[in-house]
Amino acid sequence: MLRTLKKLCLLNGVTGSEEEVRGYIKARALKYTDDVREDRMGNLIVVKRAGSQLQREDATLPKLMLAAHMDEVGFMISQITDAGYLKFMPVGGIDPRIAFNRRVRVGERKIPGVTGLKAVHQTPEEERLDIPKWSSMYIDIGAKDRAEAEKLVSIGDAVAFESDFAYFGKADGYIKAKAIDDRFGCAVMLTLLEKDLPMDVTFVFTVQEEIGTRGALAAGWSVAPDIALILEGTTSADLAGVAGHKKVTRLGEGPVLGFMDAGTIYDRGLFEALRDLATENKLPWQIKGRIAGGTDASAVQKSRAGVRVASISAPVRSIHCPNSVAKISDIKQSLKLAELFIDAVASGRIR
Amino acid sequence: MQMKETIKLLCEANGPTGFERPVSVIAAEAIRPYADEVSIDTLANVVAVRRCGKPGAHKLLLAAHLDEVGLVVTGHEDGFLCVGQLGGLDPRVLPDRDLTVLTDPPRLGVVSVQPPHVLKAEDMKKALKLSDIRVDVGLTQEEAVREVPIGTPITYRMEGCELLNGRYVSKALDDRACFAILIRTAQLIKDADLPWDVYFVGSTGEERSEGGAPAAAFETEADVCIAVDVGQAKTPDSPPEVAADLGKGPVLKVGPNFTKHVEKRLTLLAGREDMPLQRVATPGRSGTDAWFMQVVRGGTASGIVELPLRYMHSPAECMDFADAEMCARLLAAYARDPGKEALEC
Repeated sequence: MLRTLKKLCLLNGVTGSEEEVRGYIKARALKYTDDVREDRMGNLIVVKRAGSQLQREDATLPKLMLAAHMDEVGFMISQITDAGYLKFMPVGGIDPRIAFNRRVRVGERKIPGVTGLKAVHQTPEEERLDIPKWSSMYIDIGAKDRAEAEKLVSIGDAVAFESDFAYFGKADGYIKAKAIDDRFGCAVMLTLLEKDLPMDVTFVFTVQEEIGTRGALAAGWSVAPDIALILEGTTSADLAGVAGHKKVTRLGEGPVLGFMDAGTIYDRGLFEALRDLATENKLPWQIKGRIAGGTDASAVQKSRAGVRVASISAPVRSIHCPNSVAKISDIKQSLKLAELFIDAVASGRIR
Repeated sequence: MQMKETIKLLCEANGPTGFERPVSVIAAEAIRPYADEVSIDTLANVVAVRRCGKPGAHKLLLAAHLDEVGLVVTGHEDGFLCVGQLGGLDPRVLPDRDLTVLTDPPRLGVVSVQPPHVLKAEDMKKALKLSDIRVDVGLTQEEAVREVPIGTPITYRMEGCELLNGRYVSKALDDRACFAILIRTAQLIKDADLPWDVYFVGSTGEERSEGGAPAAAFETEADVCIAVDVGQAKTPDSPPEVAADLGKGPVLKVGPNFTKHVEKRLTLLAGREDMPLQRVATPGRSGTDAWFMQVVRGGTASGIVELPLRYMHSPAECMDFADAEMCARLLAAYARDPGKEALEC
């Protein structure tokens, strides 16, 4: 699964430009099922049928949907200057404090560039405490002037961070990459697709989560599930000097089970089922220490006549940054728990 | 090796100021094919010489520094590293930055950044100070103290990347791109009949102190010393006094630190070579090795040739290959034909 995650994180899919990620996932999914469709918004909807005929025909089972979003935060080109620099705006929530001297790729042609900031020598001490506004930041692609830049870049082009996927810490320790939120969820779903499943499962790879869970709203309506399990990356402030209650989630303490966040109060029965499954199978689990953030669950829950929703998230440091950090054990345990959840629905334990 | 490849080789090696020796070894090997002798001295300076074969000849010394800005471990908190700086950098480039922590073997570190919800709204608009910076190395406190001791140096971690128009982004272009210029200069004069001995020095410690260059100037007994360093190039947010630009040729940093006959000769030679030249007025301290080399022994004739550079001391500095080639051609022209005053000074 880590190989899949690496592959996915290195692809670019800024909100609204998820084509590359969708193309890769579609090709992989077609190896395991013929039932793959793309809706008009760009969501990829993949149905994997149960392994045995008996299970396929069990009409008493609820309809189960798993979802993870394909898009990642990034930038969008807003203006090209006379000197050939590109001005940009954030797409999704990005902390401006991490925006300087970053390698980026601009547009479908992936023109390499770097975000600028004048040299330290030209910056008085007191100015080093200020963060420039988005409107004064710029990307340098090496163009000599506006005309040259305009041949290669258009207003509205998506800009993705360029960042490698690397391991660090002890063996089986940590990874760092861009877009772990939410290629983690996509990697879990692709791994589940390879397996022999005990019931029919609809896997939805959504678009536009980062600007308001919009893809999930459409997909929830068309898939019409009874139960939806959302796989996400979630914030961790598990850092030096941060008080315990402010850490939100902690790396290495297992999957984060959603009970409530800024967008959703999750189905209590499903939350308790996830908690019990984890405990019985000796998997660690945790909950968020702060009611913040949101997932595609907020959209799916309210679609049609309502859907029972649950979530499993991997805790991620520096989420929405080019060098997000996650722990391998949390990722593997999340996969295991998602599998147990499917089994529990298939066996009738979760109704 | 093409200059592009030399720059990549040198810049992706890790040697922050005070910890340059591994880079010195690579630099010495890279220049060896074009020099008569190469050595690494007490301060880890690389000293390569191309002899003219004339007894009692004058000596030209070209110096480019091999160190880069970086960080150093000063303590540990909950398994994360506290850091101080090696050379001057803007702490604003650090949050969420990937770094190479120079343990043996080196390891990856990521500067942690607190997510918005643990901050007050006004904190989001404020930059982190160096004292707030913590580096995540994926270890517990006990492991971190044991495996990444205080004093461990750290560098930026940035692979080079080519932009449009032969522009190139990397860490440590300041000043290893200029050592690559010296290697190119040595290539250009390899078979030339020279009027003097030419020393190529990869100096150390420039980012922090007087460093290694004056020691090299002393030990070689050089007569003319030229610092080859990077110079500020303008960007959309730079102040108006920064006038030098990428792609417009070498920069002469003129002022008291630039001996007149050296300046005039370089200007003349640039005209002969039909290359553009940029000038930066420098009424006092030049901020280069030349400042210290000028006063070595009984004093030397000195000069400063600069490669224009954007985003200096950041992980993503940006240069232009055409400027680098022009710098090398200019220095080679001077090495071959420095004029009467230089050979008699």
